[in-house]
Amino acid sequence: MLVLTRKINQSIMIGDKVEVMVLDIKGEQVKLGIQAPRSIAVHRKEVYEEIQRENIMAASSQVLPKDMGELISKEVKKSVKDGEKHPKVK
Amino acid sequence: MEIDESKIVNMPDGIPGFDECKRFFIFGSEEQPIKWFQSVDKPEVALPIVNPFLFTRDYEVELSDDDVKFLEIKKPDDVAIFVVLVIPSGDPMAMTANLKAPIVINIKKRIGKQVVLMDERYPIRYRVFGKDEKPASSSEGGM
Repeated sequence: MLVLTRKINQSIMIGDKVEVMVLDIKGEQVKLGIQAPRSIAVHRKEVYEEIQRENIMAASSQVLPKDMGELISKEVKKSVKDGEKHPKVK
Repeated sequence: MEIDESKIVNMPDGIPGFDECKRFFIFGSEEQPIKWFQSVDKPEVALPIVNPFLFTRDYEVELSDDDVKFLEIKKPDDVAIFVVLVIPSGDPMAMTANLKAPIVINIKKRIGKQVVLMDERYPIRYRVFGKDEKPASSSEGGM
């Protein structure tokens, strides 16, 4: 692992498109600003680990209770009544 | 079980927690909104999934350029979106949906990926029923 020391408002470049800047340091917390092209996903590591755990939990679900389908269908009707927006993919 | 090859969804990255599962198919009856996302290679791996637009409003999946390229998406019609459900045994009404990481499938090319949305509004554990998740008694000082 490359280790660099930085002060507030100093930054590092990863390649020529990703900039990580130290914005603030308070006690044990460091606030980072990240500038990266839209094509690069930036996430806290915990998010990925949580998604892993969530998938594993999901896979341990038992047989689906029959009435769940109906309940969700009711939710559908409610949303439609409330004026559901159409799915949007950008 | 016989699997129709043309129905297989290739997940080249696998999904978090099951990296080794690269091929899935969607299994379930027409009239049931909840389906199973069933691994082809590991029969014991099956995740309940649902179309999120059935119970959310204003849910938007904004894909990164890399994801669009990866999934070979040419137009919005190519895409199907599902979210993974965690259904606690004994208390199915407490089921949660992972809105943070939807499974996006190019239905024409049969390629899929569980993407992670940058949007901070979308929780990993969204209560499908009774969405007013009461904030835990504020002993923990947020952030």
